[in-house]
Amino acid sequence: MKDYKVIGALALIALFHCLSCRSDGMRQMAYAKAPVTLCGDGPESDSLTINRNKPFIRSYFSPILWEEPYQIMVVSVKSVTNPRLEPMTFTVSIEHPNGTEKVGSFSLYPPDEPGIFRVTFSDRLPQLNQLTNAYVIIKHTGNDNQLLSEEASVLFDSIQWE
Amino acid sequence: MKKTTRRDFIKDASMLGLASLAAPMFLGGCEEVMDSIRERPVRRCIQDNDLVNAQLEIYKAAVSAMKALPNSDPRNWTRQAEIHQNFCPHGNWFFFPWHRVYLYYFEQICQQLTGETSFGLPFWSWCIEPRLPAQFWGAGNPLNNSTRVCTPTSVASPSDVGLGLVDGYLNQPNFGVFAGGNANSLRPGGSRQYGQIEGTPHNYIHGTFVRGDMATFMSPLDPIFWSHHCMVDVCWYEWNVLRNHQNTNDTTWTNFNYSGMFVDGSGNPAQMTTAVSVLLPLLNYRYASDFSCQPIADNQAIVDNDEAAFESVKSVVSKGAPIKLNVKERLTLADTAMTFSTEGKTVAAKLSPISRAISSDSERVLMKLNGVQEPDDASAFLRVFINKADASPKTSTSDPHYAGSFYFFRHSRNAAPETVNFQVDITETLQRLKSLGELSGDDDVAVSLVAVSTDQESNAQIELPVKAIEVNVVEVATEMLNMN
Repeated sequence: MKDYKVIGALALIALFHCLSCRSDGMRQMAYAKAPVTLCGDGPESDSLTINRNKPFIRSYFSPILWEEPYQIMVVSVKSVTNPRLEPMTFTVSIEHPNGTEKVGSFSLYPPDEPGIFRVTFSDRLPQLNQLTNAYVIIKHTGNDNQLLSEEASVLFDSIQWE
Repeated sequence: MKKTTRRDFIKDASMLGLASLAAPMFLGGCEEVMDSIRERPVRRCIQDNDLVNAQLEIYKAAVSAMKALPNSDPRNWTRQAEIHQNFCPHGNWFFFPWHRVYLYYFEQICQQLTGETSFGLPFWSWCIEPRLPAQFWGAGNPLNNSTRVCTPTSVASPSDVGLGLVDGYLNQPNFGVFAGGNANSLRPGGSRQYGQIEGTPHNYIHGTFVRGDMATFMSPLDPIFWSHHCMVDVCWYEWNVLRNHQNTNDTTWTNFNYSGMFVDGSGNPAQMTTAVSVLLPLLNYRYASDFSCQPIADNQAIVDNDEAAFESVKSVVSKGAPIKLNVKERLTLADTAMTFSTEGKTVAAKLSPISRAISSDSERVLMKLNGVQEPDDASAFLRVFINKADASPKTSTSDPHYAGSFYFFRHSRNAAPETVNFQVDITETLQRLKSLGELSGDDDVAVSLVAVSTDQESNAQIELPVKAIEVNVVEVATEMLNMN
C-alpha cells in the first residue's frame, strides 16, 4: 500500500521542479497514469532543442512517483531543421545517483522528418521506480559523433512513459 | 466443429486472394500447389558463398534490365523507386506489410526480366555484417550507387544495428511497440509513431549510415535498399512466425488493400491485402536463415503432413490479437462548457456499463476532459474525485474517492493560454469504492473536479474552464494490461 502523503509531497516537489523549467514545447495532452517528463535543465528557450552548440538535452524525472513500473519511454520529436540531410541518430541514457546507463537509440528517416519513437529499458538499468531523482539524456550522435552544422536543429516535444 | 486442415488452409489462402497472385499454382490441383510451395524462391543472408553470389548475379542482371526499360514501363528502375516516393508508409503499422508487398512484386519483376523464376532477393543482415556488403561496390557494378556517403570500410554502429539490440526488439510482444502506431491510411498525417525496428536500425541505415539516395524517399534507387528492406522483412517474419508473436487483428490493418500502386512481373496492376501479406513467407517465398544468418529449416508444417505443427503456425499468422484500445462505450458527462474552481463542482450520470467494466479484466474506464483552458496561475491543477460531492482543496489525495490529478505545464507566461485534453484511468478508484460498499451497479457515478493550487498559502480563486467531459469504457488487450 502506498503512502499517499509521501507520494503527494514528492509529487509537489517534482511539480515545482517542472514548473520552474517552463521549457518550449511543454504543452500537450497529458495522461495521468503515464507521467510526462518535459523539463530540460538548460536555458528556458532552448532546453528541448538539440543543435551544434548543445548536442544533448537533459530532462528531470522522478520514477518513484510512478504508480506503475513503466518500461517504455516515448520520445516525441516535434520539428527538425536539416537542409543538408545530416545524420540524425540519438542515444537515450538514464542518469541516476549510481551512474549513467544507455538504454537505447533511434534515428530519423528521412533525416528531416519528426516522429514519435519508443525506447524500452535494458535489464542493466536499476529498477526505475526505486529512483527518487533521475534524468533522461538524449544525445545527438549522428554518424561517429560528428557535430551538426550550424543550420541543423531538432526540437523535442515531450518524453512520456507507458 | 470441423477442424481446419492444412489443405483447408491452402484453400482459405486462395480465397483470401493468393489465387490471384499465384493462379498457376492453384489451378493445377492441391499436389501441384504443394510442390510450388516447397519449391518457392529462397531468400538468403548475404555472405560470401556460391549460393548467395549466384543470386546476386541474377540481381545485377535484373537491375540492369530494369534500368534499360523505357520510363513508360512501370517496371523501369526509376518508376519502381517512385512507388516508394509516392506511397510508402512510415511511422505506422502499415510499414511492415506495405514494404513486404513492395518487395514481393519487385522480386517477381526480377524473376520475369531475367527468366530466373527461382530468384530470391538476398538480404543484408547488418547485425552480422555491419559493412555495406562488398558485392554492392565497384565501378560499373549495377549494384553500386555513387551517391552513398558511407564507404566500403565504413562500419555501422553496433548500438544501432547490433545483434543484441535487434534480438531484444524481436522479443517485444506488443505489436504496437514492435510495428508502429495504428493508422487508417498509409500517410494519415500527424505524428508518426515508429515501431522499434523501423525507428532504430531501419532509419539508421537509411539516414545515418548509407545516406545519399538512401536518406530520401527515392531510396530504392540504391540497390542496397531492396536487400536492406528484405532484412527488415526477415525481422517481421522472425517476430511473427519464429517467435510466435501475434499481429493485430484490427480489420483496419488486416483488410487494408494495397491497390493502385504495384505491378507484377509482367507490368500488370497488382494488389494485395495485409491479411494475405502475412502469408507470403510461408507460401510464396522462404527465408533460408534468420536475422542473424543462422540457418532455419523450411516451415515443415506447410510442406509436410504435420497437422499439429501446421495448426500452431496457422494460429500465429492468421489469428492476430487485439492491440489497441477499443472504445466500447462513450458516455458524455458534460457536453457544455463549465468552469471548475477551488470550490469544486460535481457532474453525475448513470453510467451502467461501468459496473460491468470494473469487474472485467479486459476493460478499463477512462475519464476524458476535453478543451481545458490553461490557467494563468502556473501553480493551478485539477484533482478528480469519484462520488465525493464535498471534495475541496483540503480533501486528501489518500481519500479512497481520489482518482488522479491533471497538471499544466505552460512554457511561457507571455504565451496565450491554450486548451489541452486530459485523460485519467478511474477504474481502480471505482473498484476501490465498490469493495468499500460505496458503489453498486445501479448507482449514479458522480465525478467531482476541484481546482487546487500547489502554493499552499494561496487563497486565490482559481478558475479552469472545460469544454466537455466524457467517460469511455475501453477494451484493452491482456498484453497491454500486463505491460502497463
